[in-house]
Amino acid sequence: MTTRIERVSYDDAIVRKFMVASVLFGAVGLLVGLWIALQLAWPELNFGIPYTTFSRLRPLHTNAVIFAFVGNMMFAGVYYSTQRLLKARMANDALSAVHFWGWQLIIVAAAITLPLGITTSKEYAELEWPIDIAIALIWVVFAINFFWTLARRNEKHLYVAIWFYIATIVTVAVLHIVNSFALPLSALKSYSVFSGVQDALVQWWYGHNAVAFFLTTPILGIMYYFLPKAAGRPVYSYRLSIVHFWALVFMYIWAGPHHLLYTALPEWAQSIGMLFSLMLWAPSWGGMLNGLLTLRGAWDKVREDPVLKFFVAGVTFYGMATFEGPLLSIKSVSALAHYTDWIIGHVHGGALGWNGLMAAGMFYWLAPRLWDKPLYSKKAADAHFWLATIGIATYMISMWISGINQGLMWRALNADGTLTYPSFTETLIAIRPMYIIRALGGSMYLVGFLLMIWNLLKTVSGAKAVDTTVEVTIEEQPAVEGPGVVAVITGRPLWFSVVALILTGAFFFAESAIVAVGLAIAVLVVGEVGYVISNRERAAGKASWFNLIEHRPLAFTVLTLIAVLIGGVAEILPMVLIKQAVPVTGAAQKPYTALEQQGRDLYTREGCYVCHSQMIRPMVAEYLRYGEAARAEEFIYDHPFQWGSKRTGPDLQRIGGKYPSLWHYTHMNDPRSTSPGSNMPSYAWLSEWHIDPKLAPKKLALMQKLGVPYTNQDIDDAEENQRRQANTIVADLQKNGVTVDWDSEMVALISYLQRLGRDQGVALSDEAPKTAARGGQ
Amino acid sequence: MFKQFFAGMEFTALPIFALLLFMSFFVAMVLRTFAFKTKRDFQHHSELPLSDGKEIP
Repeated sequence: MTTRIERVSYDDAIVRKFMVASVLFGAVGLLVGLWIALQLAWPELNFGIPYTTFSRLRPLHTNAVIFAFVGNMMFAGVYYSTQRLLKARMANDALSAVHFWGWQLIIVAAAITLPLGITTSKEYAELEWPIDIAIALIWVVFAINFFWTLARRNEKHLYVAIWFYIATIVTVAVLHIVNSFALPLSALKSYSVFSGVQDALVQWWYGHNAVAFFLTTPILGIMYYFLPKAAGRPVYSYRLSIVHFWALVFMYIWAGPHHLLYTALPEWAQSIGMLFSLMLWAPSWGGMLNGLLTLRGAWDKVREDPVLKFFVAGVTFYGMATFEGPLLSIKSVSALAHYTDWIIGHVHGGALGWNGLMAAGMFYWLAPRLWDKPLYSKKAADAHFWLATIGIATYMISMWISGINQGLMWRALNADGTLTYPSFTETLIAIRPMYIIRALGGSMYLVGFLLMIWNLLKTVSGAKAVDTTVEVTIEEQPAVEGPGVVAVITGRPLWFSVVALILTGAFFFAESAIVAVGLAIAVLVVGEVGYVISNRERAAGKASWFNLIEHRPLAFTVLTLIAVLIGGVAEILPMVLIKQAVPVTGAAQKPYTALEQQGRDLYTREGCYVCHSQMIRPMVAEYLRYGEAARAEEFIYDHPFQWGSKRTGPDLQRIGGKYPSLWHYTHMNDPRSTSPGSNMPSYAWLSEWHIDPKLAPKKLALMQKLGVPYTNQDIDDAEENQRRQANTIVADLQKNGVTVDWDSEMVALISYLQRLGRDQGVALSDEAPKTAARGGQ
Repeated sequence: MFKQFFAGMEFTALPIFALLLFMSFFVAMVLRTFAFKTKRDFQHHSELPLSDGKEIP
């Protein structure tokens, strides 16, 4: 083996760009978050403007924080560390530039469309189809640039951080593409090809894994690079990092259904989701401990170095969030916590604590190096640290109290079996102080963040941006002998695994004890033979099969993709093929009328799902408060599903017919006149704005293509039927002295709300169903 | 319990196969990492973040 010295100039300009974008959008995302937090305590802070209302700004807040703040931060970290770990400049500067500017354009498009109500209503995937396509294209550009750099690398070993980046790139692509399958109605409106239970499972498979593979795995890669760098010592256990990686990649993808516990999702899928979430405890904490133990013997540095302070706190919050996540996935805990503010506290522990503090640590590390000037103020960085840490703690604790309070009040029963707090607004009034304290915690975090911006600005002002050039020693190895990709695929370990798998599978289905014992012995023999052969080859100095994989990015990527796909396919395929249209009650479901469909689109445009669920769980308290538990077949024509994930307001699954149309009209104009104590904003503009009646037949025709059983006659008569149904609502309102246009949005939305829960086969019995669980009460 | 867990599902073989695949890969990976390899085998890997190369001013 010979060595040569080569000069490599890294592209640090792209790192600076992503870092600046992250800081800028981070401030915007946090500011919007604070604004909507204040709206929950003082709903009039939307100033009566549709575009600044909580339900439209909340998706903007989540998208800004996830994709703009953390996304840009992640790209900065990936571009910086990848070049150094591979000892190679990014393959193509133009691709890097396209990636940067394309991503920023997508963010701007999101910032414009979401307040306008242009949304798919799928959480963290709200952007409409043209933007979805743009995301896919830009992601491909990033992937090409990354893998091209891998191919041109000067370091043969792939450090574990690179593994995490590979997993991120391939998994996010799969998640985004599958969850975005939709048929467009127009340039800015589409409908998910999935419906009801299927849509819910696909969405939360995506939603959960967006957290896993966008907010976690790339940041873990960043942790494995920057933490040893800042501490000046290698990671505590490289072997543990390998186990951490593979365990996370295999397990995370299965855990999505824990977002749907006690819903109409089949029991087996819920149980798998819970089981894998609990298993995640081990690798997550393994990773956290690996990060913290890297500082073994260097804890004195943490006292002095703000970078390490942020990293240590960030990793600790990772540990807290990954402890709390599995805890919340236990069905009896979920029964209490789901739909409450506890979940909000949990996700902010992850986003502000893990992502936010890791980002701050990385920025404080990068700025002095990218501008070749020391950090302006360590004291300001320390102040930022304490403001952020106390701010997050204040936020999380207030949301824990609020969430547990909500959960307990919702389920509280009197001795005679009636609800102790029958009015939903009683719970809202009880938790209002917590909303104010939460806003205070968020404000502290924001002030700390602004302090960081000031500190970084002072650091870089007057400094000249520098691109690092290094001399690296490159080991030139003779052409790799031994297996190529084909040989890797046909390698002995793979065959041993397949044989062992078949035998193990047969063991579970064995019908007699003798066969089972025989199969168990066979599995052990195969394992032993594999062990002996592998040891012999090792002693003979042959490269192991896994070593070959580790050095081949393509094979490694394919393996990672298979690991990820196994969980997704095994979980989603049975659900897609399930006969969900067969109703338990034997009664056929009726598709929405043209007017109801128009109203449903307004429901998604205004983001009603942000605060209201449409999913009654099989629990006594839910039955008493909302009615019969939801069943899978009730949602078969729901493109997209509207189950929601939070109850700032009550569930609406069976709201239809509960109140007269006048109540809805009054409630949406002035919520507190019908529901004192409510924190819902006024939606008065719905009376003034009008639907486009001509869209009705187009919408029904598109739904027909998606499998909703509309006849051609239904489509031809859609406009006329729409007007007829609207006129009955208008006449009803007129009797009570309210005049409103038949094609006003208010009428369409009322028609949809009055339809909810009035499908065929809904039991009207006053008795709670015998199967109702008490949900841990 | 096995039958109860998968009640209402038509494709039981799929998740069972996936689970077995996961378990066998996981066990093999842990064995390979902790039983067949020593800390020294990974020393070069673990020091990669600390050996960026010699910076040229």
